[in-house]
Amino acid sequence: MSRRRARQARAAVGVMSRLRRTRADASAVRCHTIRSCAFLQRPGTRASAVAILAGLAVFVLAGAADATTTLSGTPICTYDRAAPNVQSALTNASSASMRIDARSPTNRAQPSEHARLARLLAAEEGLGDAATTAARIHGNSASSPATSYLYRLTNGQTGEYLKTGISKNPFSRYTSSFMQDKEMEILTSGSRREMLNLDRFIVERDPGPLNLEPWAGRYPNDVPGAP
Amino acid sequence: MDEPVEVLSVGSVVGGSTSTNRLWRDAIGELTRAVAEARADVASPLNVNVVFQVPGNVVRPDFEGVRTGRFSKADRLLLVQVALPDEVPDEPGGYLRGALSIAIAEAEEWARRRSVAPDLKPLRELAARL
Repeated sequence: MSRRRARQARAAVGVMSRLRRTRADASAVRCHTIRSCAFLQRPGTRASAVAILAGLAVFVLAGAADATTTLSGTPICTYDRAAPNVQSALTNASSASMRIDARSPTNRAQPSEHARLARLLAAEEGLGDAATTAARIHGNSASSPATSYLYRLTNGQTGEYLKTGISKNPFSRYTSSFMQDKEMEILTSGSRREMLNLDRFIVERDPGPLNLEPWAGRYPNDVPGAP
Repeated sequence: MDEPVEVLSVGSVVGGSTSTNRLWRDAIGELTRAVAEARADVASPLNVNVVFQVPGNVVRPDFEGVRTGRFSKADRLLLVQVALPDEVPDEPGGYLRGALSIAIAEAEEWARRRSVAPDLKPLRELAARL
């Protein structure tokens, strides 16, 4: 992938991210025109992938300030809230324009659909990283595909059990005071959902004094395999 | 978790329990207790928490040697991470004490560079007593 295409992909993905953040403002979005560009009619081109991503983003982002997405050095879809007609002059394509009312539930883009589309297009065009970023899941979400680690924290001097927890990066993601005179032993690793389930199972049955979750110690005597 | 900030403290992250790193863990436990006893009545312009990272069967440190980590301005507490090797030396306790001194030297260099403190002589003396 050339540097330019990588930049284009990143720009599209950035717009997608902003799109999510500005969903709350969707009610303020006015009608705008997006002309479909000529090369959008040629599925399979790399440009189409990025253009569709950008097009999807532009009409939901209408609540934000002026935004211009360019491809191949030429503006293909120009959005100007103050003067929406300007885009006609800046758009090369001659195909029919499409009116989009973002206030209409039927026309409002769904983030999950964006993510799915982004994955499909990017997979077709070999933009794997861009797709992953576009469909990014928050690291604290149980659905996060990132590896998580289940750990057991003990007092380094006395060996007293303090807590069971999970971490995304146990070797670095702790505060400077958290590890004072403590030992953190990594027990196992897996998907965040697996580790959350394991963590909860343990904490419900064998909580440490620093396990402050509401479910800590809920089933204190429920030890599997015990008579 | 509100707990007093110690002038020098030791922690460890074990990347999974193995038969070999058991020796590291025991030696770190001894060092932790020794530091806790020796730090009484010691004051320093910068508090240092040295965390030993022990490679295990689940995860391993992503660096070698010693590096400084986070700094808490409120607590004047600097985190220094020390990655331990896979092979445990004959005297893991001596190795750890040496690594602790290096970590303090690293913290001292950091403090000098950031104008936090001109030197960490109290901590160096504390480490020498171990």
